[in-house]
Amino acid sequence: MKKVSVSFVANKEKISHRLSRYIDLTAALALRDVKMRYQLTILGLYWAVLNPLLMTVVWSFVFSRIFRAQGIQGVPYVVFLFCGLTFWNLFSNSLMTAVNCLTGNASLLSKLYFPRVILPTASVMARLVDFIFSLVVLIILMLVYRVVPGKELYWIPLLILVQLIFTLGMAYIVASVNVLYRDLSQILGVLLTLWLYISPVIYTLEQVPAGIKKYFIFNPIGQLVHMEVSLVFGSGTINLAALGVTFLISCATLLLGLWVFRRLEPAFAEVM
Amino acid sequence: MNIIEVNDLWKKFMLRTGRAGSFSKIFNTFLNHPPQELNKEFWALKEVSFSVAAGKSLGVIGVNGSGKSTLLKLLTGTMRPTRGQILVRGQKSSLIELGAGFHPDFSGRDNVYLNGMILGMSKAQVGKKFNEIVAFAELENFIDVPVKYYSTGMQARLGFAVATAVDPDILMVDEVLAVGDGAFQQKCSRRIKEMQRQGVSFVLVSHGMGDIETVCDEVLWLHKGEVRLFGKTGDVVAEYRLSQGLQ
Repeated sequence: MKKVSVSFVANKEKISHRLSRYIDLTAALALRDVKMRYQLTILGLYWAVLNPLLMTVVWSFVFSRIFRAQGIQGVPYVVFLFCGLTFWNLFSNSLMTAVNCLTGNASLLSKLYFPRVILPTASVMARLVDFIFSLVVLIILMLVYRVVPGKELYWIPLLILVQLIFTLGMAYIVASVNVLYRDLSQILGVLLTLWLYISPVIYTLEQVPAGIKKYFIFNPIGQLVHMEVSLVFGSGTINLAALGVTFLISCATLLLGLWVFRRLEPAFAEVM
Repeated sequence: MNIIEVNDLWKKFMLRTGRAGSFSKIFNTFLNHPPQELNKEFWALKEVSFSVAAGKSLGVIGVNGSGKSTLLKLLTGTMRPTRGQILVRGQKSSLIELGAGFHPDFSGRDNVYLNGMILGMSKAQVGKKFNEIVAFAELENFIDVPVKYYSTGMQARLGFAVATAVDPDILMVDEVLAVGDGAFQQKCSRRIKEMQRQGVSFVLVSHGMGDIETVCDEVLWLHKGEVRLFGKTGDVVAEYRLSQGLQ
C-alpha cells in the first residue's frame, strides 16, 4: 500500500463541467480583483487609464525633453511611450498583483481544496481588464495625434497570447515563491523597474548599440513589446525567427512556472 | 458503504522558531551560529484511524491542541498528510472558522457568489439558490452591505447558509455553530436535522458537548494527536466529561 494516499471521490462530475466551473471561478476572482482595486477610490476604474497616462506624461517629459530620447520616426514620443507602457504594464502589473495573490487570500485557501493555480491566473486576467482600458486610450491618443496605425495589426492578438503565456508562467513562480519567501514581494518592484530599463519600451530596439543588441533576444517580454509597438505604428514587420524563439522561451517559462507551483503547493496551507 | 475512511493517518509539522529559511538563518550559518532547534518536528496527528458510514455523523472532540482542526483540514483537502490514507466519498462542503473566505470590503452578495463557487457550485447554481441563502441567513436588507459591517452573528448565519446550500453529502463544521443567537441556533439545528434525514453526514468539531450529542452518532476523541477513544456518542462523551472533571 502506498505511504500516502488521499482520494476524494466526488459525485461523477463531467470534466467539461468541472472545467467550466473553474473558469467561472477564475472570472469571478479576476472581477473581484478589479473591483477591489478601484471600488474604494473616488475615480474608480478611471485609474486604470489615469495611471499609465500620468506615468507617460512624467516620463515623456524626462526622456524626450531632458534626455532627448527618440522613439519611432514620425510618431510623437508621448504616443510611442504610452503604447510601450500599455503592453509592458500588462506584464508588470500582472506580476505585482500575482505576487500577493496567495498570501492575500489565505482565508480562501483554508475552505476547501480548489486548484490553487486559479488564484494567480485570476490576477493576470484581472490585469487584462486594465490593459483593454489602456488600449482604448492608446487608440484615442493615436487619433488625436493623427498617428497612422500599421498594416499588420492582425499579428497583435497572437503576440498578446504569447505574452500571456509568458506572464502566466512568471506569475506562477512569483506567487508560489512569495509564500515561502515574502522578501520577493519587497524586491519585485525594483526588479521589474530594472527589467523595464533593459527592455525596448522607452527606447526602440534599433537604438540599442550593436554590441549588446544580440542579448536582447533572451528577453521575451522585451521582444514582445518591441514587436507589438512596431506593429501598432507599422515601423517594422514581424521577425518570425525572433517570434519563434520568444514563443519557445514563453512556453518553457509556463511549464517551469507550473512545475514550481506544483512543487511548492503542498507547503501553502502549512506556511500560511 | 463508508463515506469517510481514514487509515493510519500521521501529520507532521516543522516548528520553525526562526523565519522560514530566511536570510537570517543563512547569515547565522555563515557566522558559525548553528541554528538551534530551528526545525523541531511536531506530530499533530499520530496513527489516527476511523471510518464513518454513509449517513452517519461524526463528532471530533478533545482539548485545545489535540489535532482536531488539523484533522479537518486534511479531510477538506487543504492540507496533505505526512503518512496514511484518506478516502472521502461524495460532495464536500465546509464551514471552517467564522467568515473564512469572506472578504470584508465586499458585499454579502459578492461573497455569497465567490464562496459558493469555491465550495463547488457553478455560478448558475449559486444564482438559483441565492434567494434561499439570503432568506435563511435573514439578511435581505443587508445583502448589499460590505461584510465588514456585519455583526459576528450575521457573518455566521451567512456562512452557514452558503455552506449548506451546496447540497453536500458531507458537511464539515469547525466550532462555529455556537455564534448566532438562540433563535438562529434552533434554526441551524432544524436545518441540520433535516439534512441528516436526507442522508447528509456531518463532521463536527466542537467543545460544546450539547451540540455533539444532538448531531453526532459517533465521536472521535483526540488527545495530543492520538485517538483516545472512538465509539458511540454517549459512551465517549461520558468518558470525556469524566476526564475533564478530573483534571
